Amino acid sequence: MGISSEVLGAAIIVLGAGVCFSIGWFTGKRGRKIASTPPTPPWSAGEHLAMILHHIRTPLTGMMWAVKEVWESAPEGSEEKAKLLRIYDENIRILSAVEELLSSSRASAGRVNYDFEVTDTNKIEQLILRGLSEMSSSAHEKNISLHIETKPLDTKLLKTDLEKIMTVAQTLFENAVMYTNPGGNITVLLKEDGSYFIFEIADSGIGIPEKDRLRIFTEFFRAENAQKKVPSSYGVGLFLAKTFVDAHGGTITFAPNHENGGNGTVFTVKLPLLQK
Amino acid sequence: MEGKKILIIEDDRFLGDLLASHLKKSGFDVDLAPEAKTGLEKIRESLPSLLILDLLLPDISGFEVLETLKNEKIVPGLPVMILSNLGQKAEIERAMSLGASDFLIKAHFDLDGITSKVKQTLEPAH
Repeated sequence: MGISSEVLGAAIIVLGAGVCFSIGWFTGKRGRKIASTPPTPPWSAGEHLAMILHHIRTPLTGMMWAVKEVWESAPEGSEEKAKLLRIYDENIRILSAVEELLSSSRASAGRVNYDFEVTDTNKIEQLILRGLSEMSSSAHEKNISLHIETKPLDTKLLKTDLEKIMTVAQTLFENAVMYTNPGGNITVLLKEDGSYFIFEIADSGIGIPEKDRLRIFTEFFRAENAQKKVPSSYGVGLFLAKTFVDAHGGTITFAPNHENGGNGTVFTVKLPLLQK
Repeated sequence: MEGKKILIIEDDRFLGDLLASHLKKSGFDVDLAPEAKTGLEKIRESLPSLLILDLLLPDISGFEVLETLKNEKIVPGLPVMILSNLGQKAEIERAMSLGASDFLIKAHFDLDGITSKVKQTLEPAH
């Protein structure tokens, strides 16, 4: 199959829509879809944003499908093929950002669906360790030392939405890697104290300035030093983490990490154990 | 798969055309309806082997399409694959309880992945 300039052109136009999206475009031409969508108007700002983001995903998905198809048929080793791969990767990046913002807007509208189940501390520990293992390459790439400590856990039950808790662990770990300089270190501790399952992630990163600490879990808020270090983030990860942990009746807190004379942060998540 | 007829109810022309074209290349006979009511008319005229159904549609929702098909006893005989960018647990459960046979989130699949799912549905493992 030859490369279809028509499909590629359409895909690039859709990329434009995804990157430089206009709310007017979606509430106008695309807004007609909204009629059959819960919840019923009037919507809160969060619900409205969730709907807009939902609609942005459709053209982005179409572009992803089209670009992959055209990429597959492009000549091996060609400049064209390399550019198409880049477009595909960028599209995935935009789609991931949209997914993240969609989760955040759902959370701010109070529309998160939870799937709670009774599980035990060993299972959650195994899942977190497996998740960390899968993500550890990002730390190794920055030459960050990763230490994982697990205190022997008595098997206790807790009620969790495992997917949400894994998202919390992933967010805290990714942040630790993102804001720790090459050569730094990250320590993960998993334990329980009879009342709570606890996991801590301590880094030797840039820390959270005192003036920003009260707002660190606020949606879209980013500490000044974090903005300088990573300009392209959105400030929703910690907001979502707190939303999810709160829904479990748990707590998420942070404190400066001065270990080894460093200036990092330690985040602590506590999830309540079911009492007999 | 030769001759198996698939109806796609998808109002996004770009997505619908891409999927239809890909499935045709895999040997399926594909028809596309840009809205629910047209899709229901096509199903009543000639029953396809599989319906691929979006949920957010301009006239009536995909959930209502499923309800109609269930009331008319066309479902569960007709397998219905939901293809939507909705995908919260409640939405998946609602669609499955109304008789959908599968639920695919658009952004999580590429065209080859959807085609594989279609083949699995139409030719289950022996």
